[in-house]
Amino acid sequence: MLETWGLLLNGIAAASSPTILIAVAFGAVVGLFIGALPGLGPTAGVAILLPLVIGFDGTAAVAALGGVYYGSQYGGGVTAILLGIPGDSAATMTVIDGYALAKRGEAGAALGISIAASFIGGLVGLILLTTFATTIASAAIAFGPVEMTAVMVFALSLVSVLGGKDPIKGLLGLCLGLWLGTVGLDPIVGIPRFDLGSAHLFDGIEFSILAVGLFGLAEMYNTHLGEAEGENQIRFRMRDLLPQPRKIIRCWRELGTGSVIGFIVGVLPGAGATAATMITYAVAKRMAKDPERFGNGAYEGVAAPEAANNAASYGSMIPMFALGIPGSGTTAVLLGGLLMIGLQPGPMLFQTQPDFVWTIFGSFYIGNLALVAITILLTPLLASCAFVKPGYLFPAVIAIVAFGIYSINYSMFDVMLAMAFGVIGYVMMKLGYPPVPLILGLILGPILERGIRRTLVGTNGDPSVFFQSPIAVVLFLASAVMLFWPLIRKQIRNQRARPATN
Amino acid sequence: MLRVRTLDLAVSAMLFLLGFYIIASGIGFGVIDSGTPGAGFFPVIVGAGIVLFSGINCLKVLRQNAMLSEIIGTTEIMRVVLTSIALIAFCGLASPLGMLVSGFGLMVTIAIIFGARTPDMIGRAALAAAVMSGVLYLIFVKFLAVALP
Repeated sequence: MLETWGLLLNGIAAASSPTILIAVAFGAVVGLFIGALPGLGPTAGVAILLPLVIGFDGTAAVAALGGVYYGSQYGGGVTAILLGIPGDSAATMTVIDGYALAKRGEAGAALGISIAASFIGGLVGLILLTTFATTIASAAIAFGPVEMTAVMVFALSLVSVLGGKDPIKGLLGLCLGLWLGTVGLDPIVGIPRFDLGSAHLFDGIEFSILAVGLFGLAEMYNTHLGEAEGENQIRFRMRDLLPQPRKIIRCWRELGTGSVIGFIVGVLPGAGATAATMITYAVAKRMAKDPERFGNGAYEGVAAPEAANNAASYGSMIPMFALGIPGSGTTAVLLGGLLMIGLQPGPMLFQTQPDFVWTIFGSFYIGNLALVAITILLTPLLASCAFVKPGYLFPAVIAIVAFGIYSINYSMFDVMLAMAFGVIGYVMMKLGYPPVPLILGLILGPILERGIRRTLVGTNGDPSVFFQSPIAVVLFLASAVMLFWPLIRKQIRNQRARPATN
Repeated sequence: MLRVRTLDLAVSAMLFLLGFYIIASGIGFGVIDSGTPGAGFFPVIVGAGIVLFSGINCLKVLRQNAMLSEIIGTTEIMRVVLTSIALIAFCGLASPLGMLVSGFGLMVTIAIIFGARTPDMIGRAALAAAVMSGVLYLIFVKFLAVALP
């Protein structure tokens, strides 16, 4: 364990290089604005920035993308408190007491609590991430190709929880993603598949093109104009934004439970930061001596969800770094980013690229601390950016996307492809097709296909090899349970409802 | 104006056909090669999945009328269509005009599509687009050393 913290200290030292610091600051600031802007969430933010930061050095690129992710958790709280508009869904619970406090003239105090809670939640999440990611990765190091194939199958089965309300559409999206993953040269035999006779598709579909289209462009197409407009901006003093120890100590219980619950919920695939904030808020209210204060402007009502959503964002990175499984939309895009720079997330990452892993973890610690100061300084700007009309914001975002996509392969064909995926993403959004399963399929499909085929080539086509490893069998069973979970849950609900009806 | 149900049915039907195309192509690539899975093994399974799930979705949409009342407004559809046309024009004009000039045009057009209608708003959008073009030049040409057309 001591060795882990030694490695982390080295990582923090490595992350203090000017390049990484600039990347972290850049990602954190962009994340703050993305969190504050209603409409664009962290997934869209990371997806939009992906083609741009991929031009950075590999470690700096991932440090910047991580900065966007945790920066958006800070930013969401600012507009939630000052304007009553949650910048992203994870800030929804902050609106309840944060906006009530702001209307009562305590906007500064609410923002101060929100920033402090974000920092504490983030720090607890980071400490737990550092502790558990290495432990899980060490345990998973014994996994061979068969077990890793089973892990991939398990990851794909998460479609049942990441696939939104309609499991059929989730599975359909997953199959489409798996198909898109087969486009290009076959990894074993080398024959072109589904390339439509175009040399542009020989290397397959670039992940960032799909992510930008499905998450970035589609999100903008779907924005209702006028949504970002508002009138009643609440005033606050900069002095009040500084952390006030007395108020923070008053919320120690909510900060602690929020951080731990947020982290645990974040680790669970598909649960996400929004669910973490809801559970934490409910727990804080239940534990409170005077729960009637909740909803009318309670500091604890701001502290608990803000600590939870920051801890959850680090929790969701555990399955991604340690096992190579994305547990949420944002970590799916981050995982794609890691693959784009040539890194394969999973247990071996800690063995083969320790410098990268610890520098990234170190950059998270630096970013979390830096965000306290950056958020305080940028709060007035963040509050006003929620009023930026889509007519001014979207042209800039679309231009960054177009230039970023072009710069990956110097290809206008890629820009056209991103545009096509934007339209497909919009149609999917309208019809209730969740985009995350499609992304999961595109990222994990090629790895799974390679794993299955190489293993079967080694055994002359005997599939029983997949059932000889106890770990693989457990993972296959868990995958089956995950896949059929919606049906099982429906059955349980029906059975519960039956006696009540009788 | 477009009914969500009609669109859902049309998309499911297209996916159903796409699934068959993937299966047929997969068989063409070779499902089994010397006793081990060939290049078409995975596409055949995936294609079968697409056929199965799009078929189920088709039946589901036909059976339920809950989405009958939901519609997508003409303005919204036009926004998507016009943005796509603007992006295609940007790609086409990038080579003869240069990417920065064509990017400026793209930004002003997108601003108009997303609500900048009065001359005053268009003027401000053009100013923002000019500033943004400078920012893009600094990031991509100077910082990332990308050779823009």
